[in-house]
Amino acid sequence: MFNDFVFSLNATLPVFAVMVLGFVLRKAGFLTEGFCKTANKLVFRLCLPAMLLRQMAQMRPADLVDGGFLTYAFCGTLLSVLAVWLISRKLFRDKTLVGAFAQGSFRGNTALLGTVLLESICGSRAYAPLIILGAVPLYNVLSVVILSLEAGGGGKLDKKRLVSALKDVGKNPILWGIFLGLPFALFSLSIPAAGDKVLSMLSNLASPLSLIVIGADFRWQAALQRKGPTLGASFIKLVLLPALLLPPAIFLGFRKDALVALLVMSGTPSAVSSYIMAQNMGSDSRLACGIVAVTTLFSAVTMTGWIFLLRTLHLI
Amino acid sequence: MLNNFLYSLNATLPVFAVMVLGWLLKKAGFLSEEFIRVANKLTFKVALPCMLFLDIAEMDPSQLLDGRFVLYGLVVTLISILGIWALAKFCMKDKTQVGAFVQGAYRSSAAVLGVALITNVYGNAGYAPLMILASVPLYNVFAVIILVLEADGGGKLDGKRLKNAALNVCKNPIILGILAGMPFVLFQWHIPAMADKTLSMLSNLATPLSLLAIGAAFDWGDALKKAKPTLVAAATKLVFLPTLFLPAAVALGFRDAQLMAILIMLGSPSTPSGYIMAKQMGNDDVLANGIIVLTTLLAAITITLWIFLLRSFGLL
Repeated sequence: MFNDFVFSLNATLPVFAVMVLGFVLRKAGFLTEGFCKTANKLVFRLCLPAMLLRQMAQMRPADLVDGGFLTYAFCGTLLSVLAVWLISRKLFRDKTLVGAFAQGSFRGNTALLGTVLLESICGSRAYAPLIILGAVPLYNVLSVVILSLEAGGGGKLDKKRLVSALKDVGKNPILWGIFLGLPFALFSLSIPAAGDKVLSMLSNLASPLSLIVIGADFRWQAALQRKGPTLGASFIKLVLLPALLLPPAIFLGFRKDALVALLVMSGTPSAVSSYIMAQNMGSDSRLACGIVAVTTLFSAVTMTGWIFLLRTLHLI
Repeated sequence: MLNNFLYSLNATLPVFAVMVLGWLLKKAGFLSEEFIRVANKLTFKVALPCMLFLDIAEMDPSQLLDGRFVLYGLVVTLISILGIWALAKFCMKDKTQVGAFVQGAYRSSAAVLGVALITNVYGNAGYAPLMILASVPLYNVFAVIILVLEADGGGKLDGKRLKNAALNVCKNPIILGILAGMPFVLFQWHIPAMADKTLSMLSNLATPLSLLAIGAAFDWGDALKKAKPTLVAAATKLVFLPTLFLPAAVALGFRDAQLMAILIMLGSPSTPSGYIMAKQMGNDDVLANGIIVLTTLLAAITITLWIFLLRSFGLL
């Protein structure tokens, strides 16, 4: 019991400690806006793709044949998104709230925070490519669909936006990292030592740099301007979605690292990019910003709680 | 033979490849000046101290208490600084160049590039913390003394400047990180798992971030405008110092990780911070930059060859 609690804290606390450090360093004027912007670009376009390429390249054909996990991750994500959308339509009359609320409730920070937590809990990032493939393309496309349908003044499906969203998925460097690693897995090749070392140096940068930037970008001011919807969406994101996704997963026999991966996929805080998209697409950006802040803050508690629960049940 | 060559290439190539990447990203406008500045601060004040702290704290007490290694480092550093200084004063006609020449010829990038190279080979900083302890304080104090005394028009060394230099060494976060780790070895204290994980996440930043920043800050400028002193200083730094002192190290019985740390101390390129100091203290900054640029470029070849040589003799 006590050991399980220590295990859970060891898994989450360091991750949040580095985020807090990012926040403090920014408040102290040590980290600047310009640094955070470039660091974000560096992580998204270089470090994470390098990391995922390496992870994929370490897989073997046998790992790829077993599609059960990926199917579950994909379907689970799809159903969560649709369920959340329906709930938000029932809850709000104000169209501008629906889009931001729905997006904030489902769009987890899977690529960045998800992989960091995965590594911190399991000590391995083996499942990172799978949860990203299962969730990220869906998140990105469905965010555009929902935000444009629910845009202020009642929108139609913005075809141009949808096409460009699909194109963006095709150009997403994170997904490219995964695809580039695929041939290595299919043909059981390994990356030459020198190349692998370069990639590993770059991937080492991914976790700490993204945590520092997430911490530095934390904005408390906006968090509770729309108290009710913000707290509601945060509850859905951090508690309800994992509660819906995990029991069937356990029933289907997913255990250990696979189960942790599903927890991390469903229960990470909202992605910072959801705020930017809400702002650009005429949705309520203050709500979006609040959800990011509140989920980020509370996930320190909920994530620890989930790990503790699964651990005491001897599932991970 | 071929294996030894591959070993040497794997030891150096990835490190220089990440530097080249930093340079390319800067040229492409991806990395900004601001990013480089903050990244340097983050490396020096946070990431490197964390890394060296952990590496010292996890050392075996018998390694730490073996004073011969540190003593060798101190003596060699002192001899090379004084020797180069005396020769330069005696042989150089243009007295305005003496300060920048001497600093460029002795002052290795032991902490940043040295740690990166050693980590790349052994997976941890190994003997780097002890090597830094032996060399960096002397490097820094003598840099101030020499640059002041050899400044344009001949400066005067007063007590205040010397006190400042000594104080700066005591406040140097890298040195502080190393010293803070000492009690953990001596008293066999344990770092709690949580703190260990947080610190190791931060230390993962050190190598890739500093290499990207060094590469990005690489500025050809007027590198070969003062060709002769630049070439002589580079040859001293990369070839003469290791040639003089490596045989002594081998004779004294240093092998493997210890010998690697000594090679890196002797044969690393000149430290980029030397440029700023030379400029601020009224020395020849064009020459200072030239030496840094040239040693950084050529080190890719010379260090590879040194490692190859030592490896072929079965010493590494």
